[in-house]
Amino acid sequence: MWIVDKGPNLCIIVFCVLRSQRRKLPDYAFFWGCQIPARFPFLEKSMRLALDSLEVRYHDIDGFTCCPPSIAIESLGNRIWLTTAVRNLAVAEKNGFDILTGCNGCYSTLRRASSIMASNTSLRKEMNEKLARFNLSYNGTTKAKHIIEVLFDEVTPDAINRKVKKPFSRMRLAVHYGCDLLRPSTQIRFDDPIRPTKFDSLIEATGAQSIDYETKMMCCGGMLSEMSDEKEALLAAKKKLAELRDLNVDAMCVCCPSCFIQYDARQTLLKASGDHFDIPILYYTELLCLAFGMSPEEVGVKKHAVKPTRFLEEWEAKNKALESAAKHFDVWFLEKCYECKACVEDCPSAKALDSYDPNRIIGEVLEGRLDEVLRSRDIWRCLECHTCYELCPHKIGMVQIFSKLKELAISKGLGPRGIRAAQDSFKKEGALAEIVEISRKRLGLPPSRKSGNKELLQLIKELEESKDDGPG
Amino acid sequence: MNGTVLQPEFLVRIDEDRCDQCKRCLEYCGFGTFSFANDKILPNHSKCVACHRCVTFCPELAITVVENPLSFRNHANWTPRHIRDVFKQSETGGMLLTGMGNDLPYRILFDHLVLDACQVTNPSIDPLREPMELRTYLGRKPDVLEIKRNEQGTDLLKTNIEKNIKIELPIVFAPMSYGSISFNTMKAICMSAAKLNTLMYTGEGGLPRDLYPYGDHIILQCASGRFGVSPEYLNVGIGTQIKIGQGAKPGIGGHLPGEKIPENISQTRMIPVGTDALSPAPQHDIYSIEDLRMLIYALKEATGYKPVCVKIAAVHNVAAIASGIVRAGADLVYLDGFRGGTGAAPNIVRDHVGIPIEVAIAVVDERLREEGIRNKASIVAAGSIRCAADVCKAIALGADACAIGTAALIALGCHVCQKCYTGNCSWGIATQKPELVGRLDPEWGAERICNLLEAWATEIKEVLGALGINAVESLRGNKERLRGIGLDRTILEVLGVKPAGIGMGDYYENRG
Repeated sequence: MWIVDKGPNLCIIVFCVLRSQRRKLPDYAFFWGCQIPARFPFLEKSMRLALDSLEVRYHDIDGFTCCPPSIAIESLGNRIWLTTAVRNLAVAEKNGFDILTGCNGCYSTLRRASSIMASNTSLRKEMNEKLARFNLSYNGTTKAKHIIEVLFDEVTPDAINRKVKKPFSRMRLAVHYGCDLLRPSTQIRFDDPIRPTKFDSLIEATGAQSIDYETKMMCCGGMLSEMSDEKEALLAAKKKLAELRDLNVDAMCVCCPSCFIQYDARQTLLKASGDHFDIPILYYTELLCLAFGMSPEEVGVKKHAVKPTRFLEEWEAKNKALESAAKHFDVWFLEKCYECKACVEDCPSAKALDSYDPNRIIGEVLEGRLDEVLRSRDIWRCLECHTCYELCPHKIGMVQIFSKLKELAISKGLGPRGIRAAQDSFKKEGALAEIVEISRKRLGLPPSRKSGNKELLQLIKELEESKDDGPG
Repeated sequence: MNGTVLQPEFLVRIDEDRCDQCKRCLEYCGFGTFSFANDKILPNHSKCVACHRCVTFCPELAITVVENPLSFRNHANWTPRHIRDVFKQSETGGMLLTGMGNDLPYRILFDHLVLDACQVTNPSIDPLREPMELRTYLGRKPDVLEIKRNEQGTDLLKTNIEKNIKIELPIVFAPMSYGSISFNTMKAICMSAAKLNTLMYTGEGGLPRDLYPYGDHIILQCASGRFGVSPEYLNVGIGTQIKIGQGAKPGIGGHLPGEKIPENISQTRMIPVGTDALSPAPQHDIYSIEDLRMLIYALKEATGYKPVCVKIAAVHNVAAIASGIVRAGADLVYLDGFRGGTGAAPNIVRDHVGIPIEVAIAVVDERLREEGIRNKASIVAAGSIRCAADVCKAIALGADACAIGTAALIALGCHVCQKCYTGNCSWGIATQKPELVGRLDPEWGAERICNLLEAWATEIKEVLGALGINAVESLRGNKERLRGIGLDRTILEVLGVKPAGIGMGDYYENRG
C-alpha cells in the first residue's frame, strides 16, 4: 500500500493502491433495523439501488432482531442491551458476513458491542455461553459497518465520482453526520469525532458543494420527543434548519432514518406552526441514485414529507444549462474562471464602462443563457487586450471564452454591424482596406506588390464549405 | 479516531495589510492550501509543501512560507524527521513515498574534492582568447586505426568506426518518463537539447509523437514495462537505452499512478486511461549478462546499429556489472548515483539504497581501464549533478559526460518540494492536470535551461583553462588533477585520488 503524506492526496494514493491490488470488497449481511423497512421503504430502495450500481454485494439473511438502540434500551439493563446486540453480531458471523447498516443507531450499538466484546474476554465468554444454546457465538470476526463507511473506505469517493452521470454541480448541500456515526470515537472509529470530513467528501463526489456551517456537528435532537416532549424536539430541529435557511442551502443530506424524521417530518410540523423552511432532506443514497441518472420516481424521493420539487427542478435546470454550455466550452474551466475573478478588476473595458461585467456574462453562460448572451452587445466589449490572460493563474484568461462567444454570435448571424462589414469585405476581397496607389506615389513610395489574395480567397472558400474552423 | 497528531511542516504567513484578496493563491496552489471566507484568505498549513508558487505569483508580495518553528525536545537519535515519519506511518499503515533525490546529510564527496590549477610552469590557458573544446563523442571507439592506401595513392580508413553521438558540451539530459513529467516539461527539454546540440533521454513512457521532430537529439529508452516501445519509436532517435536501474530507487521498478495517466499519456504509453503503470523491478527477459547481450543486439538490429546505452543504478558491485555491460556490447554505460532524483520512490529506498556517484565513476573507470576496455564504451554519470564544478569533478574521476535531471527541472521553476508523486505540481512540471501543465511555457522553459547550460559551459571552459588544458577529453579520468580534503585514506584509495598537500611527483605510500 502506497501512501504517504497527510493531506489532500491521501485518499487518491490509497485509492490507486487499492485499485492496483484489485482488492475485493467483502460480502455483507444487510441489517435493515426497525425504522427503515417499517417507515421508510423508499430509503431501503435507494440503498439497494445505490449498492447494486456500485457492485457492493449484500445479502438479506434471517434471524436479526432490533439492534437495539442504546438510548431507549440500555437503561432497561446493560446486559439486555448488550446481549441483544451481540446476538445480532453472532447471527451475521454464523453466515460469514460483515454487517452493513444504513442507520446510525444500529451502527453505534453494533459497533460498541463488538468493541466491548473485543476488550472484555470474560464478558465475551459469558455471552457466548448464553448464546451456545441457540448454536451461536460471537468471536469478533464480523464487523458492523455503516453504508457511509463502506462507500468512503471501500468503494471510495473517486469510484463514485466516476459513475456520476448527472452531477449536482453548483448545488450547495449541508451535510448532517449525526452523533452515532462518530461518537464515542474510541469504540466507533470511523472519522474525527469533532471535525469529520469523510461524509463531506462523499457529497462532493456527486459534484455538489458540501458547505461549512456553524451547527454542522449539532445533534438532530429528535429523541427529545421520546425523552421529554415533542415541542423540545421541534426547537432542536428549528435551530439547524434556521441556519440553513439563512445560508440558502439547496438541501440537507443525512445518513440516518432518525435524523431524517427529525428534519423531514418535523419540518412539516414546524410549517404548521408558521415556520417555513422548505429545505429538502435527502438520504445520501437517494442523492447517489439521482446522480447516477435514476429518475426521482424510481428512487422515491417524492414520498418525503418535504417535497424536493424545487430542488429537483433546479438540479435539472443546472444540468441542462451545463449541457448547453458544454457543447461549446470546457465547463470545468468556465466554472473555475467564474469563481476566480482574479483578473476582472484589471479588465480595461470593465474599468471604463460601469455597465460591463465580464464575470457576470460567464455566469450567464453557466446558467444556460447562452442565446441571451450571444444577442447582447456585451461580449463585443472584450477587446482581446489579453490583460486577463497575463493575470490568469492558468494562463487561459476570460479572453478565450469571449473569443468563442463572438465566434458563436457571428455563426448565428449576430454581432455588431462594423465587424460583420469588415468580415464581408475580408471574405470578398481578402483584405480589410484598399491601397490607394496615387497617394503612395506622391510620397515617393514604391508601388505596392502583388498580393496573394487570390490564393487566400480560395482557401477561405474551401474552409467555409467544409465548415472546418480548426479545433473549437 | 481522533485526527492526526502530526503538526504542519510549514506555516503560510499572509500579511493582512498587503493582501487585497485577489484570491490568486487559491488557484495557484496545486495542493489546495488556501480557502477564502469572511473576506480573508485562510491557509490550511498542513497542506503547504513549500513549493512557493503562491509566494512567487502573489501580486502584492503578501505571502511567505516559513518552516514551522515548533520544537521537539532535542534528541540526536530520535530526530523530528524520525518522529514525524512514525506518526505518518502509524496513521496510515503505508510505505512513505517521496519525490526528488536523497535529502539526508550523507557526505557529498564532490564537496570534498578540489581541482588543480597551473602556476608558473605549464601556463594556464585563457578561454576568452583561445579555443576550448567541449565537444564530446559518446560511443564505442576502435582499439587501433588501420589505414590502407589505394591504387591512386590516397590513404583510406580501413577500420570500421562504430556510430558515435556528437554532443557539443559534456552535459546531457537525464531520462525522465513521459507521465512523471508533463508534455510541456518534456518539450522544453527536447528544445534545449536541440538548441545546445546535446541529447536527452526519454524515460519509461515513450515519446509523444509531437516530439519526434527532435529525434536527432534523443536517445529512446526501453525499460522493464516496455511502455511506449515500438519499432517506430526505437528508430526515431540517435540511439537507444536499456534501463536496468535508477539511482533513486535501485532494485525496484516504477509506479506511475493512474491519476497521472490521462488521454495523452495513455496514447504514448499504449495503456488504458487511468490504469496504474507498474514497471517491473527486473527486465523479465534479462537474468544474465548473456540475456543483456541479446537485448543489446536486438536493439542494434532494430535500429541499424545505432549506439545502445545501458543505464544502471550505482550499487556495491557496480564495477563488475559495468564491465559485464561493456562486454555485452553496450556503447554507453549510464551510471546513476544514489542522490539521483525520481518522480516517485519509497522513502526507504531513496534514502538508504545505492552508493554515491563519485565512487561509482571512479571504480567503473578504473575497472574498465584495468581490463583494457575503457575505449569500448563511454561513461555517462548522473545522480545529483548540481553545478559546473560537479561536472568537472565527475569528468576528472572518469566520466565522459554528465546527465542532469533535477537541475533542469529547477531551471523550469521547480522548488524541490519533493511532492512529484502526488501529481499536483503547482509549477506544471511533474503533473498531468491540464490546468497545471498549461502554466509551463516550453519556450520560456527551454530558454532558461539553455541559459543554465551555457553558463555551466562557460564555467567549465574557465576551469579547463586554469588546468592548462584546452579540451574536455584531456580532463577525462585525469585524477591527478583532483585532490581530496577531509577524506579518509580508504575512500581516497577507492577514488584513486591523492589527499591535498601531496604533489604530483611526491611519493604517496599507499599508492605503490
